[in-house]
Amino acid sequence: MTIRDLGYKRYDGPRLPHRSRYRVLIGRTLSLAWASGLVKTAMILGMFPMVVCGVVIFFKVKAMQMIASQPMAAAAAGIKLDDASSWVFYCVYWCQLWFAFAMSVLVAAPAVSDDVRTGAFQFYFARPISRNHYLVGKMVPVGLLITIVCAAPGLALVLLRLGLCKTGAEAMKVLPMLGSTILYTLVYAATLALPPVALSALSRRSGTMQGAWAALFFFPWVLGEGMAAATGVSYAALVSIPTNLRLLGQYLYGMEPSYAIPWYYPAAVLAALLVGSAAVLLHRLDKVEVFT
Amino acid sequence: MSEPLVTTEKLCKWYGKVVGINDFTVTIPQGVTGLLGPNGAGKSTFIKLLIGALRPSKGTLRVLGERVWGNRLLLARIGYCPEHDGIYEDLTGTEFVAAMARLSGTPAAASRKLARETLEQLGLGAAADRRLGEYSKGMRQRAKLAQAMVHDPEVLLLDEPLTGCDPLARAQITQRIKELGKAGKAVLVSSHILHEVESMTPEILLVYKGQVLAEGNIYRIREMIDEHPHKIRVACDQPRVLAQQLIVSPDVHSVHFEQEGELVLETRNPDGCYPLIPKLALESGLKIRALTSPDNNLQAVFDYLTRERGPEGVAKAAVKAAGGGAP
Repeated sequence: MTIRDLGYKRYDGPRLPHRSRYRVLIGRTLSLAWASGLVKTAMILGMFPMVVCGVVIFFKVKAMQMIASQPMAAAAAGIKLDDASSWVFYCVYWCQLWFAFAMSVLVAAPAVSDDVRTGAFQFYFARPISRNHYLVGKMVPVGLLITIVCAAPGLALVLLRLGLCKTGAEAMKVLPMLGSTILYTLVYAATLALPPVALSALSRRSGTMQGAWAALFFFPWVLGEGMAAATGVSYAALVSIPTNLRLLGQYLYGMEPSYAIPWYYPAAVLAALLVGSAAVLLHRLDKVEVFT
Repeated sequence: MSEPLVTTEKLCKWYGKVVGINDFTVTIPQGVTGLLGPNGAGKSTFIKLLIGALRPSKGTLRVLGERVWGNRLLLARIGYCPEHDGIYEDLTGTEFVAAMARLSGTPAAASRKLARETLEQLGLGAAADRRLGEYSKGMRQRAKLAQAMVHDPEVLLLDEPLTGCDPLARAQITQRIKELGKAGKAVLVSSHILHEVESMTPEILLVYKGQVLAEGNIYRIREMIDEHPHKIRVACDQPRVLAQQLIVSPDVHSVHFEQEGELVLETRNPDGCYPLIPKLALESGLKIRALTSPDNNLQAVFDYLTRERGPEGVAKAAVKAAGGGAP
């Protein structure tokens, strides 16, 4: 193999503005994530609960609509036509939690540490891209993938429920659930995306950071729920990320909360977690040096 | 007068308690400059400081007259070839180089075209669509070099660019670097292999244990090393006769024989000795076949400056060589 001397030719073509650089990073992160069989599996399997819940909602609503069409019988049986929000919440929280968590472990927890470990930083940060470009280039694809797993099933179920509405009044009754689902799944996805990415900025060992994220997710969950049950102090459960998500979801979907804790407590805990994670991430990226 | 490529003032970089580079005060001019030193000398640390991948612990650093850390606009003017691979192995050569071009602001379509052209120039045209994971060490090295050059930067910082290349590729990459220098690019190329650097440029920056030992023209540096006698090798028909006449000269420090038909003399006054040798040969009727100096190469300079002398000796040599004026 020889090097062909084609001579030096100056590049006189256009140069794009710096703000366009993050697109390359987004594309790169997405293609890397999609190359993983586990990510594809989590994405595909993550759609099954939606199918099951969709079937349940379909038949439940149809049955309720049949009964509700006979007001006397419905009143006698004490059945009211509801918006099926409990099933949407069940699907989004209890079913999607596992797939979204798997996605966060696979995609978010190694997002930055992988780049440090493989030496990709030395190529990225030798280019005219800022730490913020890099952050957007990482967070957008990670957030997108987790949001798809969190939000797509919930939104599909809400749309299904809306599609099953027979009257405008029924649709108006169901419509707020669309807003609740959008808000909830966005908070949900952010909670499962930002903290693990921030963790991944703390070390070059992807496996360690994946384990740390799993420990941070499950250990306080078991501890908090256990302490709340043992001591009767329900606020102890607030140390758990999933419990806070559950409480917030229960409030948003108008359900009875698992613990008698006002909604702003879990909201404040999750907000603190997100702000803290963002601060850690920005701080780390601002200080990052390429030692490879 | 063009802006120097690099100016530093008491630049230091520490990794905790480990000193990466210490008290670097240099001015590197435009053109091709060799950054030379053994492994662990601080070459890669210095280059990473130049691209803003590391933040200086102390001192000032300017590249093309601009500060470095966090200066995105400056980085658009720089092409960097890192020492370590760190290449995404799932990408093809074209995809990798094109992605790097796009990160430097080249539009997508132009990036692909430029990537192919650059890979072609570096002999990877046939392998451009193969995955980097299938590349040999030398091919990966050239792919890294291609990504450094693809966006046509003003400055090229090449960290050990010849590592892993076969001799032919080494020669051709060396030629390419010299051409880029002639085309007006500022090139700083690091190596621990002395003859490689010497074949690219006579301008060097010699570093050792995190310190600058010498900077400037290799021959000028050699002249400044006055603590070691200058060697002159004379190939002639009667070396012993010539030696008898040379040894009585006060300028000649010693004479010895290394090979048949050759003598090597040591002098502290080469300017006086060089005219003396042909004069004596002419007077004695001797035939001189060759007159060379084994000291006028990088290996000799490097040996002199880095010979085991302990930290004090190194510092002394550094002061002498970097001091510039006083021979």
